Amino acid sequence: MSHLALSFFKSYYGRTRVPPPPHSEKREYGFQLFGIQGMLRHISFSSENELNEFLRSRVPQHVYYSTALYENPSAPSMSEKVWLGAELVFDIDIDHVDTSCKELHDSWRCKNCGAEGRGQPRTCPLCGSENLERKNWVCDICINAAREEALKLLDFLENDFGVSRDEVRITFSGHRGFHIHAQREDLLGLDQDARREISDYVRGLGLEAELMLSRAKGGLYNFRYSIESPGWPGRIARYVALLLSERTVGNSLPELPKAEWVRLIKLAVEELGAKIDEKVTIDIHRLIRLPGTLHGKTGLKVLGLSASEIEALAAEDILRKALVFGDEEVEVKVENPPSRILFHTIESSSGVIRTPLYLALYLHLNGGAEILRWRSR
Amino acid sequence: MNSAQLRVVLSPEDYSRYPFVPEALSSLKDLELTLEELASTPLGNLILEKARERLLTILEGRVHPPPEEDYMLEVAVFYTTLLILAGIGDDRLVEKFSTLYAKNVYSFLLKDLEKGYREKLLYLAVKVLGWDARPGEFKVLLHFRHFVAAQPEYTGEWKLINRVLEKGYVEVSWRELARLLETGVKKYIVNLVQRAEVSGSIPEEVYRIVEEVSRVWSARQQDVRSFIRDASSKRSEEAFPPCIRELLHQQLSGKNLPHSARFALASFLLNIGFSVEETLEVFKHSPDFREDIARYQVEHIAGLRGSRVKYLPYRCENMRSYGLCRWSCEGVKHPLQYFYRVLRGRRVKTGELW
Repeated sequence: MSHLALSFFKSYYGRTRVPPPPHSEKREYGFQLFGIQGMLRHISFSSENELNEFLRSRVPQHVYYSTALYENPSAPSMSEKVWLGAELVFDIDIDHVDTSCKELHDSWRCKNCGAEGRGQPRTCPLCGSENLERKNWVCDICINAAREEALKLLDFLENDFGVSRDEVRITFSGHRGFHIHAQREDLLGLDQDARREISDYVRGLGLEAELMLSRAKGGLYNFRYSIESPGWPGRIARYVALLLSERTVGNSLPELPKAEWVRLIKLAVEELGAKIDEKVTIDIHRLIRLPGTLHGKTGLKVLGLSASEIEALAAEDILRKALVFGDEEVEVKVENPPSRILFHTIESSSGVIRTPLYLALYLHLNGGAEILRWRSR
Repeated sequence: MNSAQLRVVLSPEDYSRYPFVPEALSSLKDLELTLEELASTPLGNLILEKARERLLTILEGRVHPPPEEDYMLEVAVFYTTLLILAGIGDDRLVEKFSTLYAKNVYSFLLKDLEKGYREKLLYLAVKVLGWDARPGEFKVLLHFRHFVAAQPEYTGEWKLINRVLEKGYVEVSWRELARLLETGVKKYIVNLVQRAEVSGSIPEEVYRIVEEVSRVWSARQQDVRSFIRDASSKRSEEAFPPCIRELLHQQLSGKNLPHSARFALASFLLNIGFSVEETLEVFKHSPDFREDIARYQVEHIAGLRGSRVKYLPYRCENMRSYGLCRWSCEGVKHPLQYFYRVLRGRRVKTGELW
């Protein structure tokens, strides 16, 4: 089944030069090859040519590199690798964000009781088991939601952490989200506890509302900060000011009962926190997708973006930029396809449908759809 | 305050309280004392004996003895102690020594602060630890990467999210800077021990002390370990959820746990039937253990003091946000739930989240 996909991937790597990440020779690379279980790890490259030669000859389905830098990146154990530092990385995955489109394209089957349905429930609605088999797809609505989270994160990085837009490298993962790398040498040495604090900060975790309040007259409370304050306090003040715009005079926030303040602050935190996958930020030995390579479940390119690009581009533009295969129509045999996928709506349920090649490849790689008729040009 | 001004703030007298600063080590070089002479001259013997006494006091006690008034002697004793610690090569002992040492440093810093010597704190932060710290009249702006590496707690006012963070800098008070320096100095000393290298062979007299301290230390470790084995075998340590097992392990290996971790562990042990005494025995391993304070706190958690409420351990969700849990245990929302399930003979599927 993957023979066709393999030949497409081969043609891509044959015509493309993948740029290596900064400090490439100090990174570990990992690969998953077509039709082979497990990951090929502990590989390193001394030059751009060597990396590209590997991609051309082995044609991997998935390509990863370490966010960490090592003295000996190809050593088989962590102690021999000698950790030198790791980039501060954030992963925005649509699985961590509620979107209505999941009903349109995600499905699940409970391995415990056999129930099945659409959407992305955390547990089986029937028996409560967490043991669900899932089939997830991505569409422009997902990417738009993920993009919103990425923009929130960029604001935290720039205004709170002082990491400028030029120091940030953004990647569309080629599937369900974005990776954001803070490329700052002085942050390479942060340990896991430190990264957890940073992760909690951008997620809004551990914020204590009462520390932001001061007692006023008549049992009411003041918010101790103004809309001009930096950091979380200012963010919360601006959110609350907007929410209560009818009750605020000028820039000052009203005096309110404590419980009301706590409720408003919680609302603000829920709304303003960036929904990242904290595991990726905390892990200092993480392997992450290499920009310029292909995502093996979608056939989309792992796409490097600048801060201005992610701000300016709509979700559909980002997805279109990640397309590397043609749009000639092909016939695909599908079974219960998603109704929304990339920027397309699929109306039929099962059977043979006609789609552009890039979409057929996605349906094939992620859903086992059979590409029936395709003739290379 | 620029770096030229910073250069002159420490006088030799300060070296006896802050012997880890690089200038203090240079002053030691003026003595031209070699390792061989440590073992063979009267001054060398005095230094060696003081380092030995100091280490034995730390093993048995809960505080680091005050420094020598003669700064040259203090600096020599300090570095000799580091050398012996490097020779023993036990991380837990190094952790204990540096934690207690840094606590003394904290109290000296507070005294300096009371006298208005803010520049000494700034000197240690910027020149010795290499922190990016910018002083203001009432506050200091500290770069977040140094703040998160030195914060003593991950909750409440110390938690990064509860601070004002602007363009990379966290606002801290001078007193808070002193507390952050305590952690910074502790890590700095651990690093000094790890990097300590002895050229040539260690003289017999020095080696004898390495042996003696090692022996006393491992005997003490044995006592506590066997106690825990007895105490937990009754209730089977395997019934502990992975988060509590990890905390217990860290506690027993002498790691300096944050308050939230100590609370989680103490409240768990008390809830599964450990007595106050048994719980205290576990905490005797803390590098900064003080029986009176620990007893008060454990009794408080046990509901014997204050509000008379027996506290429950945190829920799994809260354990996770305090950074104490990195596992997922199927169907478990509370560490005690895990314990009781396993005691009833049910298996709980666990996986590591990161």
